[in-house]
Amino acid sequence: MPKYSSFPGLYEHLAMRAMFQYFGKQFVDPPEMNDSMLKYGEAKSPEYACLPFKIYLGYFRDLAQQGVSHIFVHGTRGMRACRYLDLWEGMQKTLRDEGYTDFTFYFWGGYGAWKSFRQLKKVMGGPSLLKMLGGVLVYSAALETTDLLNDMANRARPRELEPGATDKWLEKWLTKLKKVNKRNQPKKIYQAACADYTNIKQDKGKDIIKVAFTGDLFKVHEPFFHFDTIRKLNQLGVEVKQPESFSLMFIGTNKIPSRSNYTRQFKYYVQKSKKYLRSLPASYFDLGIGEVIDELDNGAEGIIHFQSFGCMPDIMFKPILDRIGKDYNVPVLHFMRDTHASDAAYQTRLEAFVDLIKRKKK
Amino acid sequence: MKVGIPRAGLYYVYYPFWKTFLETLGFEVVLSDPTDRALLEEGLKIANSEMCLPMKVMYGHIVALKDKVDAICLPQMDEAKWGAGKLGTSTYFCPYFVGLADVMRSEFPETEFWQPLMSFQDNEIEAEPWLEFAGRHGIDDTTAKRAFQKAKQTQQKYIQAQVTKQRTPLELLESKKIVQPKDGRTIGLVGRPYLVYDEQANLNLIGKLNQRGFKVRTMEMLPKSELKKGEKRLSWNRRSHWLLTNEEYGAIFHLGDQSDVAGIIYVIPFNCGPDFVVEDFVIRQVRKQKPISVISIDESTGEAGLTTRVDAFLDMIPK
Repeated sequence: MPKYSSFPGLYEHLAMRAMFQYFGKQFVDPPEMNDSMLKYGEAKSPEYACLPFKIYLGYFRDLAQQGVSHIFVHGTRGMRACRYLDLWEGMQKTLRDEGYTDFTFYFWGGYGAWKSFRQLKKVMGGPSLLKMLGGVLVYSAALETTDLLNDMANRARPRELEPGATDKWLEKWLTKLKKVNKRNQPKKIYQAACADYTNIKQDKGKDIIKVAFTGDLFKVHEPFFHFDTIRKLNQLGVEVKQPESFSLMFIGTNKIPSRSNYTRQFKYYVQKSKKYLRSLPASYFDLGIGEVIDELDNGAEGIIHFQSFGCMPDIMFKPILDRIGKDYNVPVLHFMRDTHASDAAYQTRLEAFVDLIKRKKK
Repeated sequence: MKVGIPRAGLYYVYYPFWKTFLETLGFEVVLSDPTDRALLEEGLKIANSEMCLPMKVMYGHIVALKDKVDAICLPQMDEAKWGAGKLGTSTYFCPYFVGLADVMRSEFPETEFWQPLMSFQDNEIEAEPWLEFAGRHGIDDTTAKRAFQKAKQTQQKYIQAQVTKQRTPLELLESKKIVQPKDGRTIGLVGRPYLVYDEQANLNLIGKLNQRGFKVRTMEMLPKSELKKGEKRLSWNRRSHWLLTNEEYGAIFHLGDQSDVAGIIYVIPFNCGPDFVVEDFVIRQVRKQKPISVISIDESTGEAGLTTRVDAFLDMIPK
């Protein structure tokens, strides 16, 4: 019986796990990303491969070593996220050449409803259409909850009076999501988490700086990839919103009903991006630009753009973000990560950037 | 009204269509001069260092054009749909060509950029976006339709001439004379048209091969049907995400089968996003049947270095 796991993206695996449990199937939790994955990816990837390719290749190889042979990946908007399919096909081919001959990716959600259900049916052992609809709703309800909890944590962390209290709270409630297998459970967990949220002691009057954080979809979700930017900034007293959330991308673009009405939110951000963007070079591009503009409209005082070497959408983000920065008169920090970039160097640049904003404010 | 078209990027592929369409609508088309070192230097001053060489060249052309025209036309190269157009079966142009006008508008906010959508169905340019574009500029529907038909026919003739007359875009668009040696062996030269035909960017690669007694057969000289057959031979049995990448692989596989082709040079811009993943796999497949060399070019590629690479490759081709 094949073992399944998913894409490494923040807490998305918890939603995937909930759906698998709803269908009574086993799901392997993805491993924490680490430097050895990057080293493996660097050694085995094509020379010009972008950094996401290299890191994810190492990550999937780690899963393959654990016996996982099937990866369930969700997609959006006709799978036109950059070179989406070439990335997966390339990784699949490399891993098969390395001896993991059954390694297979299943793409779900990016090809429209019919094909997505066919994929789901194949993986879950032929459930009824009604059951599959239920599965999608379990997935989206759990996904929404992970993103809502994460957003709350990102708001509380810069204001917390006891260092680490927010992360403890987040960990506690995310752990509870691991047991979800019914649609109504994520909502109950969210409500209980909201009640518990008041126990995080916060300095509500603290002078907080807001910064917009953005970058290509593949890296802004994974803390290992972006050197844990959000947490680092939070610790410097900066509030940052998680960009391009999976809820917006999956629930919003596939128009699945949700409490937070992600479909409307998604349209709102796309509309915001129109001043600077008329095309769609990658599936998340308008969302990323729209979110940055919205953050600036709501008081953000700088833009941090996390790039990775070889990423085309990121290169295109750069001049557009620079123009937005000029129009809003805010500084823009572009940081490009390649296989040799160091966490310490990035920390220094973040600290300097925050100092710059503080001085500008005075 | 003067409308500028940069002699860069997809100019080598779609210029006849763009020029005919705009001129039939009554606009005066102004083309930038051929790339030279000074123009490239202008581009290098502004473009992101991470961008590929063809994009840096494009920046140079925009700088050269922007004060001479009323607007610059940079079509938004969109989706290429195939068959019934099911989700996930389309192929795409490199993101730079999708969002080129948006990027340039951010770089040069005082310049007007036109961004007509250019999409395809089974390799045919779709009419609707061009008619809408004409309508936005106050052109009546009849004139727009006439302009589209005329532009499409001109484009078809241009593509056919490359195959039937075995002529490169340089010869057809710029009346440039390329003297192919009469008895030389043939080298297949594959790569992005904006690199293969920009003599400044590629340091006159075609000329170098001709001077060394080799004939050159480029991707554009091959029938599209052969390119389509070839693209299906990629070892993972599925087209790539990218339209031009598929054509390149189609060309490489096709040229690999030809007994009169002595070797293949695949020229790619350094840091080219679309080519990087599949390139590795294609080369592994094709090198079993034909000598193949990948030459990666950026703005710091020097004459001596390139000449050495080319000579070394030509030397290893069996006589």
